[in-house]
Order: sequence, then structure tokens, then C-alpha cells
Amino acid sequence: MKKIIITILIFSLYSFAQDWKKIGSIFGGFNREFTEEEEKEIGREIAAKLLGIYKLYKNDEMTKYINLVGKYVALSSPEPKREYIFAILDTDTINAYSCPGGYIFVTLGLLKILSSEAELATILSHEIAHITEKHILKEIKRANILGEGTEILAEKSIGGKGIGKDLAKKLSKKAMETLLKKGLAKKDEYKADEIGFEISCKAGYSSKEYLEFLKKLEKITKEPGMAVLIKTHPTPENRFKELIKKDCSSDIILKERFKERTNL
Amino acid sequence: MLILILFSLFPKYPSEIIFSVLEKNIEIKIISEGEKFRIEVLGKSGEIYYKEKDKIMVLQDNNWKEIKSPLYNENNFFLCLFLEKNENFQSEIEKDENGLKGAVISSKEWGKVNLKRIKFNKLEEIPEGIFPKKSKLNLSKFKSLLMGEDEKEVSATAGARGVGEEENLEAEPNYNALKEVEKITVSKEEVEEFAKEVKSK
Repeated sequence: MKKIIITILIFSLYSFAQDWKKIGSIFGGFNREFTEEEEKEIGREIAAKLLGIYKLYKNDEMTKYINLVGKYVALSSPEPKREYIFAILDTDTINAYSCPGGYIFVTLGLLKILSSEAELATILSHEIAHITEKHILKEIKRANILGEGTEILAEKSIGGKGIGKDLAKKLSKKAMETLLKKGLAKKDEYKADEIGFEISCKAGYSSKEYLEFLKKLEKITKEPGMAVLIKTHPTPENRFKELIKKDCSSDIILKERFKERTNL
Repeated sequence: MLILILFSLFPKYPSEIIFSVLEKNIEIKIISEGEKFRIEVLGKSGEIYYKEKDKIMVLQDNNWKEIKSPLYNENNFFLCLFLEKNENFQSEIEKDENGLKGAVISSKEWGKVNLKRIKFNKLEEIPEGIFPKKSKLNLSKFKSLLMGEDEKEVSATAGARGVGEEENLEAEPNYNALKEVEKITVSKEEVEEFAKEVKSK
């Protein structure tokens, strides 16, 4: 009899704990971390959305070069084993985008204003930092955007079966708003600058070249292609002021190779 | 570029100002509710921003959400709607404790949008040269606010272009292009070789 009572008690406590977890998830938003698969799922949707807005730039040589630089600096990132894919968007807009799960895009407009591999390496490192720091995922959770999705996520979080395609689509739409309209939190952009600077420096590049890039951005803030970047990032001037404090003793710049390999 | 302007002061406080964007089947209602107001856009969804006193707000899911810090303080508010690619609509609306008082309406167009106030008289087309200075100033400030806290001189055109062309969030996802991206392969050996090259420089 005693055993039966204890069993019932344990079972009741377990049920209560499960209900409480669910209630907590619903009212408190989505509190657990996204799994790698979920990150990838959300990232795929965001990447597909981006590719719906901008055309993919098809140039095998240049794409391979961007991937080599990106994958090389990624080895010096906090998550060197993560898989990254780098691609180029065919637009004069000056910007770069990172999606959860490792998809990173740079625009042709951005590549056109770069003058060295070191600049490219630090920009790609900045995007890698957004991914390793999970900035977009944090933004999704922070905004508690889910509405009915919160409930779905709560259910999924208990079942542990992933978030599903529909919800990933919903999340990607919100993430796109962050990427193209609202921008990430400014502190996250400064953080990505800082970590990106460290990653490319550790890989051997002169991250100081990134400061030259920010100066270039400052000069062209009124260009039409800069509208989204200016709207979604702290000003180049303020980013410069933050980064100038950092030091990097690496000295690889590679201006000529960048010109040869990109042919821009 | 065609600019249509209406400047009208109302003899009495109206409870509603209704505008119609001709050829696009859009109707915009600004409804006074004492100190508060409500905006309805019929026939089209779009981003709606407004500035009132010290706040810049954006309409999201039927709720106004503050988006930027204050830069200046006036009694009128500035309303801006980004309807779709290459179209926008801007207005300044005066109001006081009794509600809506008057309006300065402008529509810069890149497509062909004709704005008409349908509640009262038909809008008259006015040459660009007499565009009110105050309205231009506010438009510029407003765009600056939307485009970055430290950017004071960003042109309105650039801002509108950015919003129109870059933020087509309704674009369908392109999974075929994504598959092409996912086919991009660079082997571990190639990366190692590349690393050696970089370090030898």
C-alpha cells in the first residue's frame, strides 16, 4: 500500500512538473536554447527568404574564394567545428548577412568597396561572430514574437521534436525584419565587431584594415546602397571609435590577391 | 518627380480625415478620439510610423511600438506610411487637446500615386517649389531618426529607397537558389592549403 501511495505521489509530482514547465514556457516565452537542428532549420528559412529578395551571384571562382577566406577564419572562431557556407548576393546594396546555422551572405556591392583580403576576412569574422553569439536567435527570443507560436514552442520544447517547418518560417519572417528593418541590438553589433576583429587577427590578418573599411563606410553613408546598413547598424563612426581601442599585431593584408581573386 | 501637396486648416475640429490614394485602391483614415487618434489603412497593408511629441512609433500587430529616442518636441505629429516598393505617403497633422486640427499632406512618388482627400474638397496639385519648408525639415529629421540615431543628414530619398527596395519581406523564399548555395563545397584540404598560403605571406 505504501509503495502504491509513493508511486502515485511520484507520478503526480512528475505530471505537475511537466504542466508547470509547459505553463512556464507559455507565459515566460521560449526559454530553452534552440538545438543545432532547429538553428539550421531557422537559418535555412532565413537564407531562402534572403535569396527571394536578392539574386544569388553565380561566379564559381569568386564564391570559392569567399568560402576559403570564410572557412579559414572560422577555424579561429569560438566554434571552429561549425559548418559555414558563404555566398554572394547580386545587389549593389552594401551589406552582409548571417543566418543561424552557418549561412553567411555578402553582397556584390560590399565586395566592390573592399580593397584587401584582410578587410574581407574581418567582415566575414564579424558575421561568424553573430552566429556563434546567436544574436539573431536571441533577438527572436527577446522579442517574444511568437504569439500562438509561443504555445507551439512550449509544446515542442517538451516533446523535443524540433520546431517544425511552419514555425521556422514564421521565425524566419521575424528574423528578416530584424536583419532588414530593425537591426540587431547595437551592443550585439559592437560585440560582433569586437569578436570579428579578434577572430581575423588570430587567423593572421591585420584586423586594423577593418577600421579603414569603417572609414570608407562613413564617407558613403548617403549612398542609396547604404540605406539598410545604416538603418540597422550603429554608425560607422561610433563603431570605429569602439574598435580603435583594440590592438592587433598580425600584419597580413593581401590587397593584390583580393583584386586578382575577385576581379572587381 | 511629382509632388502633390495639400495644406488645409479646418474651420472646426473634424473627427476624421480620410485620404484616398487613387489608382492603388488605398484609403487612409485618421480618426480623432480626443487626445488619441487611430489610423486605418484600407485596401493595403504597410508600415506606418508616426512621431508625436518626443516619440517615434511604429504600428506593429495593431499596437504602437516606440522605436527611437526623442530628438525634438513639437505639438503636431508626423505620419509616414511606407506602402510598398517605391511608394510612400507622408503627412503632418496638427492636433491639440480637442483632437485633429489640420493637416499638411504630401506624397512623394516613384510610382504613379495620386493622393486625394475625399472627406472634404479634392486635392489640388501644387508645384514643387512651394513645398512648405517646415514640412521638408520634418521629413528630413524623421528619416534621420529612422535611419540611425547619429545620422542627421541622410536624404529622404535614400531612406525611402532603402525601405522600398530592400525590405521586400513578402518576397517568396527561393529554395532553388538555396539548394545551389548548399551545393557550394570547399574541402578541408583546400582550406588547409589556403591556410598555409596565408601564413606564408
